Amino acid sequence: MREPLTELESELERVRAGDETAARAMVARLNPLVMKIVRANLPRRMAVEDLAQEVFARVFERLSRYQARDGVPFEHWVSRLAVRTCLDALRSERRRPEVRLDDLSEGEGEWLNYLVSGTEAPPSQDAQDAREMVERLLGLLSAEDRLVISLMDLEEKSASAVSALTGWSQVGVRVRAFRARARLRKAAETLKEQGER
Amino acid sequence: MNRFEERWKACARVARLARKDEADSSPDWWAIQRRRAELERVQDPQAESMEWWGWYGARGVAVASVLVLVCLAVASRGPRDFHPLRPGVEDAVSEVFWLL
Repeated sequence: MREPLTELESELERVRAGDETAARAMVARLNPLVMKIVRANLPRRMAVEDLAQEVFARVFERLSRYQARDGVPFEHWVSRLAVRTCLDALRSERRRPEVRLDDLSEGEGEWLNYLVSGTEAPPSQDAQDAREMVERLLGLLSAEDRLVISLMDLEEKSASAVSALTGWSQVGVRVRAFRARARLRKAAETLKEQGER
Repeated sequence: MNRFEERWKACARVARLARKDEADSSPDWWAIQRRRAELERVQDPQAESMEWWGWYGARGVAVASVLVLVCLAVASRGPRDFHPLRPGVEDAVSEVFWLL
């Protein structure tokens, strides 16, 4: 005898059948989750809405492949699709942006000094400056390095969570994060040196 | 953890505060519109058949073009390699051919 459908399964069935109200409810429910992932892993020249749209398009395209009884929670399945979509978008960035010291605001410059020079105290706690600096440095990394740093250092996810989202092994995640931070340091030092010349 | 990593984490911690300031409000209309367009496309057999013809038509033209190029390449080499049969042999071949 067939088991009764769970709430999620019945919602998915209605979405698959073309019920627009159910689709709207699903998007509204998933939107915060998707937006959070997209914002954290957004290529510099891309609008957050465009990338989120790509994620939802993939979710709808592949909805028929999702089986609620496989043991993978639906939100996790969507998160994984969102991460992979972001990774594809980061990979398709034609070239890494060039950053010069002159491009940085005063606050960003202070953060750069704090990162690579002997400045002891962290600069003003202006979150926007810190974020701009972080985004600029991340923009100099490869797509994979950027993703792993965003997930681990900005989203504060564990290596096992990143492994589940990306499909990379846990050891692979740790090694990649370690190397990515080393590249980040190199990029920050190069930026600082270029400014001093 | 080395000094850079410690400082990077401190910078990331402050940067996270800027991210939290962002509201999660975002219009979901585009996702729904796209879903609707997809459903309409699937439900419209004519659109689907046009898509089918477009897909196979383009590949058919590509294959035909390759075949034409191959034939042209073979034909351009042809006259140098062509050795006509002597008239006697050619007649005999024709006769056998017609008998068949």
